[in-house]
Amino acid sequence: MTTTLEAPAPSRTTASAPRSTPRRRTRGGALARTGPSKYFAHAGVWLYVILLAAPLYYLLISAFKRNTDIFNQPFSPFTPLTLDNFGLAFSQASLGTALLNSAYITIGAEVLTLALAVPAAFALARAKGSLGQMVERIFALGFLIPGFAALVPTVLLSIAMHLFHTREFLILFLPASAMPLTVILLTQAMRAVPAELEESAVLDGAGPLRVLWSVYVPLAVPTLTVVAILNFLSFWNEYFFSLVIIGPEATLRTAQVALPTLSIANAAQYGVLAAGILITLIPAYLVYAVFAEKMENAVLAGALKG
Amino acid sequence: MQKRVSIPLAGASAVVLAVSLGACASSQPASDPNQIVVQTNWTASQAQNKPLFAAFEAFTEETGIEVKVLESGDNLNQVYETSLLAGEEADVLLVGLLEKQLDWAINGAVVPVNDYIEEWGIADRIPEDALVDWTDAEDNVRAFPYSGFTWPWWYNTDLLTHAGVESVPTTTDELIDATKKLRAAGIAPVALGGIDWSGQKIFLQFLEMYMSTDEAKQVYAEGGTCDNPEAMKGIELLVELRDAGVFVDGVEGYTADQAQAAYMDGQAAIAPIGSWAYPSASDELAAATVLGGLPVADGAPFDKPLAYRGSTSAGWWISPNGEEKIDAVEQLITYMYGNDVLKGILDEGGVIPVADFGGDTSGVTSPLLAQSLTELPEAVDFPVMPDIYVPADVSNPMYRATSVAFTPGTDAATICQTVDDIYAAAK
Repeated sequence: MTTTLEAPAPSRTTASAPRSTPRRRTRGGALARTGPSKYFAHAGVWLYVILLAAPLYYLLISAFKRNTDIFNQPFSPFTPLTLDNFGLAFSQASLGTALLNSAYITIGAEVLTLALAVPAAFALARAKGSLGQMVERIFALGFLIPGFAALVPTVLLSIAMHLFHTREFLILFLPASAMPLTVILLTQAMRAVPAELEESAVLDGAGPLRVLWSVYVPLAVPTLTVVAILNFLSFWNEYFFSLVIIGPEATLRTAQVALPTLSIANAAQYGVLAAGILITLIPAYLVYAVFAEKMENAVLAGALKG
Repeated sequence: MQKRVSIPLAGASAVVLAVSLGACASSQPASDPNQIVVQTNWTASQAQNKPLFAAFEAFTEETGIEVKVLESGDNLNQVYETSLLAGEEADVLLVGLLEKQLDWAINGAVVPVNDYIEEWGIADRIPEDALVDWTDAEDNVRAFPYSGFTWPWWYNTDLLTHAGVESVPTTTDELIDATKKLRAAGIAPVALGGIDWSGQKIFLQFLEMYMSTDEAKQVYAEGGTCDNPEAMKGIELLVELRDAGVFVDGVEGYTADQAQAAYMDGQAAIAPIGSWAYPSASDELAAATVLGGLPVADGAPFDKPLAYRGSTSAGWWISPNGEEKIDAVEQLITYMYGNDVLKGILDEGGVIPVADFGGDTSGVTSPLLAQSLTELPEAVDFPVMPDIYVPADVSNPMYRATSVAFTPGTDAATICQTVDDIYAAAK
């Protein structure tokens, strides 16, 4: 196959910059023209940043404190700080096993989701008739089903499949909940693939699978990255179905199910709980950090199109 | 290069995938008569529960029956009921009696233990009022009552003395007087969870101040607060104390944890806190703390301050799966009622057993627990514990009524109406 991809066209924003500007714009210059309102804008932005950062700071600092200090001096960094909470969280909730279980379910569900959604989106993107349109709408209807409403039939299904109290049922079930968004986004991304590229590939002898793999998938990578990250976060943080279907068995439960056992009504250990939450945030943060640039590029590419 | 994936091949792949997943699914083994699965919200990691888990190990050594523990948090109900649907529920549960559990024996989620409690010789060791608490409307003994609690009011005598209060207040007039002195000294008076389960119980303690036991049970079960003059007097008493500044500022938004932290940190001089918190008190605080109750009001039928005492902290419940291996379950439960085990959970864990095991409290090391067992019963009266009478679907919504009650400016009529509305909505 000899199909080649053209380099993306230069961004329009560069070309559309006002040519009459005699000197290069600087950020300070731009701000200077906004007048006194810039101070309000800056204050507003900083206030918003503080509002976003405050809960993270609270979580972080609480992970190093005793219960009493968390309540009496919630934001103060000047209380006795301890690392013990992390060790306690790890051992008390068996977080090592729980993190492995979460990773197993998340990766399994992610792979299955993409394995099902990519061909589905490919087919829908190429479909010309009303059947394809109807199927796409059926996927979109999936947004209307609240997860909670699906609990009872899902539990019954897991029992009927003899997969109740197993992690494998979650691997099968979670993709179902992620398919609507994944398929709809990927379908839109694949629709943007120029027909000429596919024609070239077909002329070179590529079948449908090769066209999908060598033409559509590379061009849909930015959107694939977005849905992969969104799905990862959703699967990693899933609590309710994991709790009910997998249950409290320490060797099977996920990190999100293990965490609440650190703090029950009469025996709250908020410092240990905060430490446990931080530990479980690390994998999610790492995944986001690795793929964040691709995700931002994908969003930006969408914003500049047209 | 062109590859075609045929429909039969795709179907075969799907079947292989499903079979593989089914094969590698690590479902629990079929019921093993030499293993008992215990589901509980007692966690092995907490110091007070160590004697229980040590007892499990000792039981296994003695009998060869393995005890597998499923540790659940506050969501134990939901997890258990769902696993029951699949027929994969734990054999035995160690959990308290409240909310959904109230109907478990009636709706078949657990096996009534009426016959077992007699046959196994445990009934004689359980106090009559505890058996009444654990018996439902259809005369099912829901479970074997195991551990209880006391829920006194804690008084920090160091802070009281510092403020010029010479003795622990036992009447509401004395409480108001103490409040003025405490506030003058810059010390918060009574800290309690005004917006959650703990505040709800204290709100009901006020409601009960002027009522008889039977009247309280009826009001808890059916509502009708506004129509009950005695209940209204209790609410008016709460309003009077609230407006006199008895409770910490902002109490209507306080949680139990915040209130406990305020007392433990010496910021508040008084707090109603349950026996589960005895181990949390520092030696210094424990030495300064005198356990008492809600000071009694003029005209109330009680002679002494009010504190709660209950037998519903935890019981041993038998599931339908557990009944299938009842011989092993009998061995476990009778073992757990052994005097050594009961004394261990009291002495080392600070957990108060329901069963009578001879009254030997000499091994109790926690000073507050010792005080609770010896001096508290003489110092207070124990009114009805509302947990088992307030319907499950009323209990949680009543937290809002509790917060309304503790909010400054709310009158008694509004408070009682809020409570009655909740009962009406639940019917």
